[in-house]
Amino acid sequence: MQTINNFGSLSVKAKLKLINTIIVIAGVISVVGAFEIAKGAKLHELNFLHVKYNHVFSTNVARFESGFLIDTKTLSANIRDIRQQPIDCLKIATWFERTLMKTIGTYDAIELCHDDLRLGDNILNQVQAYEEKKLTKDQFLTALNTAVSGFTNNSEKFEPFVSRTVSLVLRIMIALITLIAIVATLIGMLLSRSLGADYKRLAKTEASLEERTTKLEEKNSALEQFSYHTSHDLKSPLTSIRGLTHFVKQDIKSGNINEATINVNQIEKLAYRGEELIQDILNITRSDALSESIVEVDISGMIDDITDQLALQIEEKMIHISHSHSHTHTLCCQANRLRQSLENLLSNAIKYCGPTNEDKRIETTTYSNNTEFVIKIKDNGLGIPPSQHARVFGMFSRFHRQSANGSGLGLYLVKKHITQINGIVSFTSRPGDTCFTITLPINE
Amino acid sequence: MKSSVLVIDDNDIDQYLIKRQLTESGFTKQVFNSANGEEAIVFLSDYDNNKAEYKNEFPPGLILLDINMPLMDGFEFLKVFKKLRQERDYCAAPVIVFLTSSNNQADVDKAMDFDFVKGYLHKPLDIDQLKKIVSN
Repeated sequence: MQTINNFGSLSVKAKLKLINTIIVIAGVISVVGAFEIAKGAKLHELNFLHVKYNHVFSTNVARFESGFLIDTKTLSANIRDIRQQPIDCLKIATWFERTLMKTIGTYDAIELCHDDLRLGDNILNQVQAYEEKKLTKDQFLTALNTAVSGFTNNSEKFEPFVSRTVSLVLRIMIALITLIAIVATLIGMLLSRSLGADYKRLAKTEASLEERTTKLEEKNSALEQFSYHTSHDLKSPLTSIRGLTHFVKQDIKSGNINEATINVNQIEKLAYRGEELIQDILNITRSDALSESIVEVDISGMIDDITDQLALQIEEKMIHISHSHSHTHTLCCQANRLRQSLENLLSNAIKYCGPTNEDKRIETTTYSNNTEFVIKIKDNGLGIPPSQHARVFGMFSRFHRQSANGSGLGLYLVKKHITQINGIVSFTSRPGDTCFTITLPINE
Repeated sequence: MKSSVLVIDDNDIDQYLIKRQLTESGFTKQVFNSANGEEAIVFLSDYDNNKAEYKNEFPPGLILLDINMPLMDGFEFLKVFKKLRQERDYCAAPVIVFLTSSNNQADVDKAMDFDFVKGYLHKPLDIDQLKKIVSN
């Protein structure tokens, strides 16, 4: 596994280079092996020629002995033919073959070649001595027969050495080529496994890049949508203020003070709306960067605080607000995010309580179990039209004409905050019964 | 231009401003208001009651349509209104849309693709520009 891991850490280029090197080595070994085997065959051929020329020589010696007229030139030519094989043999045997022969104990074949050469040189000297009449025929015949038996003896000894060497070279080459083939196969398997893993990693990276691109595109599109709406919504109250101011001036001039007063109040509301919108936009843009520590939250205290803060509107609209807190676990989260979310939900419940409703009620509920902390805000107001349910947590979602006073960003911010604190916000709504539920994890 | 005008806009104040501009400039005497596309379609479809109530002022001779609205937005209104024009002969009013600076060229093209959309304006309403589009 370690090898695979190490192998896996190599680049694809390095892996391919490695497998190529192995293939080249296998090729070189095969070529060298074939070359050595060819040399072995050549040695066998030389020995065959040696035996053949020695046979010719021994036949001529026998004929010379029997009284046939054989001149010494023929005998000298025979000897030179025989002497040529050890010369060729020594030429073939390079340092590589000699080292190999020394290693496997067949170096005697080389010694035999030298011995053959010495034997050849010696008998040629004897031929020359006979020609110069320094030897008798009997002496010459004895020398010739000694040479024949020497050459024969050397040929017989030479053959097993050559056979042993060639057979060993063949065995070594086959073993090496087999080994290389096995190693190359194994490396190939590792390579293909490793390349497979590389491909998987690549595919994973590609998928993750695609996912990131999609997310970025979504974010970009959300940003575009955001800037589209904010620019419209920010410009809108200012344009209206400009228009109303024009008519206020006109009404004051014409003495229509009542109309002017109504429009001045509208201008005030528009200014308030613009301020509220800017505040919501600031809250949203800060939301991502808001790094807040997790603290223990006194949820009952937090809801009471928010209710106090909204007391004026609750009183004005004559809404009956009740709390039922039965949680038994401690809630720990980023308190500001939760507070802003609850402020928005309670403010919406007040805003859309239904002007004609005579019994306006808002109810907050909390409960907990070992894994979840649940906060519910329920009202009996206008509710959200079913056709708009899918857009509830989207940006700039307004569902009632009266809600022109709102930025349409409140529930988007709630969703963003609650998601950031690993919670879930959901809702159920029909006219007279709307309930928003925040579910937060309990972190023991 | 003396015929009535239907203003489809979710913003009460914008409706008030447009209505005052249209009437005080003498462009029209009768301005109808709808808070969104859906409300406008309901209004335009109710021929009998509106004819009885508004006599010759109904149907409106011109529609001013805000594009950015909740519920049925301007584009959705244009799609439904196209069908309504085919179904009911009296629905023949041309439409002028209100675009904002954040509407891009694609939005302009999308609105102008409807042959009954005669042009587009930006808020605040410029009566002279409106007259120019209408006279064309």
